[in-house]
Amino acid sequence: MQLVNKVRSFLVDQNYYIDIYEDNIHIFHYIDIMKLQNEEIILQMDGFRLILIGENFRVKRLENREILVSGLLKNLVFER
Amino acid sequence: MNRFVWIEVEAIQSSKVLLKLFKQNINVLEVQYLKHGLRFKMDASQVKKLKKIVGYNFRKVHESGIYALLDYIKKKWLIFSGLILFCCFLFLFSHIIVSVQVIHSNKEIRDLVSKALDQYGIRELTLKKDFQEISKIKEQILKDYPNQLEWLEIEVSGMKYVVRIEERIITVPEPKKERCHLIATKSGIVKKMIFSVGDSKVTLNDFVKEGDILVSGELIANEVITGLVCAEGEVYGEVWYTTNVSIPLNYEEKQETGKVRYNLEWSKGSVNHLIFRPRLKNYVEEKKQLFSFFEIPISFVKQKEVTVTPKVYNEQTALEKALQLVDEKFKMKLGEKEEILSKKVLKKKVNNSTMEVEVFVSVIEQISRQVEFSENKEEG
Repeated sequence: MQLVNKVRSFLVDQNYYIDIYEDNIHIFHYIDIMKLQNEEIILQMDGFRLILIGENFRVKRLENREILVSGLLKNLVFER
Repeated sequence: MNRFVWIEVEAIQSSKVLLKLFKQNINVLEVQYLKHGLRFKMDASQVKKLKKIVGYNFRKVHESGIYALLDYIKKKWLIFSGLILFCCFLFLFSHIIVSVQVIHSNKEIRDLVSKALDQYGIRELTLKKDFQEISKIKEQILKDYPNQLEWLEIEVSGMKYVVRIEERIITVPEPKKERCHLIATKSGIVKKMIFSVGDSKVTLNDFVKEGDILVSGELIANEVITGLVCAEGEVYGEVWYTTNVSIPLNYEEKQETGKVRYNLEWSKGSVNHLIFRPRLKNYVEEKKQLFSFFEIPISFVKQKEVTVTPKVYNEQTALEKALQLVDEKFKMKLGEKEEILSKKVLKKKVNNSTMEVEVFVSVIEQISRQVEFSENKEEG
């Protein structure tokens, strides 16, 4: 996975990116987790806060710079 | 290769546990939400970090790949070590030889072969040799003892070698006799003469005594010896014997009832021991060897119940039995061209439980033998 991340970071010249699928949200390069609850997840990103609001959030994968969350996303807020 | 472990933890709020894992820089690769907690997959190298998280009881439930197997073996070490031990014993028992059995009636040959086998490493408590090695040893032993051994076979039978030998018998041809008569070995009446060389001194139905010349090696013409030869042939005569036989009058008649019981038996030497107590009072047995355990044969025994009825021969039957016995006795010592002519009961005496019978037997048997003689004087 680390190798894939390295390749991705080499190819994608971005500070972060967020992939939103039907039931999953995949976020790369977050800095900190401020809140982790079933209905709300707040992540500290580089220069802003990302607020995920929805239902039945469940963490599927949690790594140093990567988080995969499943659940119903209702609202996505960039708080600067 | 990365080593992963599955950890289970009880928690009211699963998200708190995940946050604490995040704070400890623990990478969670997969998460499963349970009713009262979490199960997650993580790198085994980070397990130590879990100790820093207080208030939760983290339990290792499963490891991935080969480590899971190793962990399983570690847990069931007793079964696995037993299995390994069993395999070792199995290998040992199937590859070790506990006895070498040399089969031959001559003790000298047995000793000779045993010594040779020992020299080539075929001995007790050694590992089994392969087929090629055994073949080489066989050839070598036959080469070493060309005058004593004709054939040798080494058979691997379970945990023993069975060695069968054929002794080489070197027959030195008898020197051909130059001058000999055929003389009578017994007194009797000449009944059949077959001779190719010699001068007949008797005719059919002549009575001859032991030592009489039957066919002479001196060829006479006009009362002058014209040649000396070795008489060759066979002369058969009627010979008489009297023989005594004793027959027991009481005997037991056994009748099968149809009731059958099964048992197991082990033998030590010539003594047999039943493993289970026999449940039948009177029975006849049929045995079949199942296997041999350390030279102790274990047999399956079929016991058939019989009723035993004591019976007594009447005089006529006893007499018939006695004559049958005489027949068997004579047939054992008579040759192919020899036969019993007649039998006659001379005397019979009945005791309490036996009958003594004296029988006169008339037999046709060979009565001639070659005897060498010197030119002027016969040899006896």
